Amino acid sequence: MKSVVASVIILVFIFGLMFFSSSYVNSTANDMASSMETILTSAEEENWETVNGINNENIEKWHKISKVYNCIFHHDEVDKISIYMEEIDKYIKTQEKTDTMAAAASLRFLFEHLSKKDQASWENII
Amino acid sequence: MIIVFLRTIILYLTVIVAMRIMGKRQIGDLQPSEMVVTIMISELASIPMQATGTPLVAGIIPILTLIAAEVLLSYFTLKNKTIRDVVSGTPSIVVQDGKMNFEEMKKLRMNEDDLLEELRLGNCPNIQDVKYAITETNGHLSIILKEGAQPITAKDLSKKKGGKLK
Repeated sequence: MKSVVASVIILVFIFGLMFFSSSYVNSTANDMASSMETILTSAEEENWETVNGINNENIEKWHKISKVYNCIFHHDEVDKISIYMEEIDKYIKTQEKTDTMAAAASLRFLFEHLSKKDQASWENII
Repeated sequence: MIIVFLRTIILYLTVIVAMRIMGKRQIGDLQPSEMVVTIMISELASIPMQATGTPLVAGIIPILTLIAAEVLLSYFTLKNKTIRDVVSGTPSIVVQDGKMNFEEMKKLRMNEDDLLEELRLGNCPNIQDVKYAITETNGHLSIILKEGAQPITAKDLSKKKGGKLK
């Protein structure tokens, strides 16, 4: 009976972890993706002050988020985002419009991809 | 290097805990479902041990899930005979009164040589001496000998002498 109780506790813990990781990834990835969308539109209008402000916020957010993401996703995927974050930072500082937009579009795609990847859908299960 | 070392220790401890929760059976005595879980756990633990790019959680969560599922399944098999029959199967009588039951042997995909080998390993070289030979759900062959072929016991001796065993 002790092992049955332990198993039920393990299952409750796993469900809790699943719920936490799913909601965390969903909210943070969507938030980062929408930030990238804002960077895309602002960079197109060459509003570099806004772009720079959002980028600084994103770097701070990513610093915290990446620690949790490393526990959930394959480290290569998280590293890929980190590389793009570094790239976009340099492009924004040098005000390279095309490169900033390209990097922002890639990052938006990657965040949306992570959010979709963590959803409990048949597509992901199969 | 230290990452691989620490990950190995964590996974080793997880597998130890998992095996302790699963119980004390020997590999040869495992039921089919337990055998599957044991093989899967060993595989699951070894992959994230070396692949440092894979999150440790990706190895630990499946191990814990398998153990929880296995323990709960064995609890339900304990409570319900139908579930027990589906999960563990039922024993099959392969020899009855010294005669092979070919129908059951066909179901088990067991040939005559396999059966005779099992009987010999069970110290019964002559099939005519077998009252029942039963393939248990864990794959072992239980042999019940005919009355005349059974080894002599202290009880038999006391019967012959008409005395009582102390």
